Amino acid sequence: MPEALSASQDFISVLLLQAGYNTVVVMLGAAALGIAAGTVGVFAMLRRRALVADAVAHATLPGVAIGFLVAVSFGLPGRSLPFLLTGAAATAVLAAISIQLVSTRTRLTEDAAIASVLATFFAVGIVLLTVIQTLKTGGQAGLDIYLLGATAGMLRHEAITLSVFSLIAIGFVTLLFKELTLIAFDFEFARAHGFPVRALDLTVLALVLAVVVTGIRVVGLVLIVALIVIPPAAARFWSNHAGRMTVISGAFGAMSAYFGAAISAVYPDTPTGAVIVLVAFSVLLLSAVLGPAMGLIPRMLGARKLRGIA
Amino acid sequence: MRPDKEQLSSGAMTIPPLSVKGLTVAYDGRPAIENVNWDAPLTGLLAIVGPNGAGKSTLLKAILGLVPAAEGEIRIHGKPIEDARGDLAYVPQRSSVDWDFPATALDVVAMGLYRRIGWMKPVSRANREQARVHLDRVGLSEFANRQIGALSGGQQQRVFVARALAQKAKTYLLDEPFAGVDATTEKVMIEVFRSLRDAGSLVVCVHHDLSSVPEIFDHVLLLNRRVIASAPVKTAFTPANVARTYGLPVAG
Repeated sequence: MPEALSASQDFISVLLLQAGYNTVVVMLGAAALGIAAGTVGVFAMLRRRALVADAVAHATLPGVAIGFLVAVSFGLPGRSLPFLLTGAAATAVLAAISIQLVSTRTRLTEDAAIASVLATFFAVGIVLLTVIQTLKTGGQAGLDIYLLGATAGMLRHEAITLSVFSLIAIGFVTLLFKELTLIAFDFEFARAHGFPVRALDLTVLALVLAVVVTGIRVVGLVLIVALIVIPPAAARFWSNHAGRMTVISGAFGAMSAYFGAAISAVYPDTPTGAVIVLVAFSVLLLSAVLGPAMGLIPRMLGARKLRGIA
Repeated sequence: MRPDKEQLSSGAMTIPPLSVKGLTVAYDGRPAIENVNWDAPLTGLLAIVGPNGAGKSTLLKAILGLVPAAEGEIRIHGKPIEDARGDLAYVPQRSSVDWDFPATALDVVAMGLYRRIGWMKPVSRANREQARVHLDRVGLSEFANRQIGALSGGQQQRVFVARALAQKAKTYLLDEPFAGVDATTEKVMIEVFRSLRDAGSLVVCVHHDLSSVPEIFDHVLLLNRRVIASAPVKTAFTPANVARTYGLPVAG
């Protein structure tokens, strides 16, 4: 992070990518994550997987803690990223499988299954974090960034990883656009006509998992679901067409992450994840009021026009 | 059940579009349909009629492979369902989808082309033109770019029928297409179904308005967990058979 920035002039120079190499890297990396989250999020939302996304995000916490412990036991610094993210992915997958099993094999409904799995995994994570705090190794202080996210200290290769991943996610969504839209709109029709609905559902889930695991470093595991859900919700007010909505949602995700990261660069003490989510929420609010597809003001104008005719 | 003469004479030469032998489907161990034996007629408009819980939708879903058969055998044009997906077009109940979905009428009709378009390829301009032809056939060409949620219930049903037409299937299976639709939609759908019949297709509708059966349909399958009767409407749709299907005392 460069020397402490302040005032609105600094904010503008940050937005224009004139605030030093590190800040630029961080903001572009965050924007790449935002595009991936917004794009994938459309299908998570349309297929009604938002709560599952939240559950697997919370379920990364025990994985992060276990990754830390494993790294330490190998004599490596606890905060080595590959260990933390592998652990995060492993427990997130375990949580997704648990939700599936609990909702199909027991009498619990899916929402109850999701809530119990989320709470249980998160509780295990909190217990493990407490255990880690009592260890006599260094580095545990930095683990809390996975809870609430931080862009401070993000490295060039992390930003590049996020961009590459973002491209891969966009590629999947583009190639499977027809089929992913079909299972989201009319699952039974797709199944009756022989589309591999299970594999397609798993693809959506895998993309969500990938966004979550790569995103917790920046946005934090508590709030990452917001970057998956809010951009598509906002984009829905701008288009009645799934394709256009996906592009708009990706743009909104990128904007939110970019501005959020910029704000947290100007005020280094602000929690990055929370700021990104608040920016995304402002976009949603504006969209709900101004958006041409069922936004508040266009709807009121339309109603007045109808009354005028009558 | 009395064997249908017409089918006996032609049965040796031709394969029924739908053939069900000894089919039992159970939910949680309780049978929804039991030991159903049924050969569909080669062409025509056929109503599946029966009281609530008689297993009408279940039979349709079993034929499509959407619910597993506990026992029995299903053939579609002589083939198992896995090899016959392209022969069937399915129209689910209108209430089974979210009509707030970000799609236009044309987008939904184009979904009927997805199988033929194939993987990884986008919907082309030519595909959209094809879809437009089918939308026109149900009288909705001027609604092509309308968001589906802004259509009336009857128009939504016609969009579903247009999507089925786009599939260019041999046999059409519809779950309550006439439920709660307006008179125009009913008229348009009957016209479309009759032209499919005249082109040699079988159109099967789960139907629950008994009074309209004779005017719309050629054949009827009376079902109440088991087959009560299956034949042309003239011979099978008798007060006695209907009473037996609905578990009522047989009048006069």
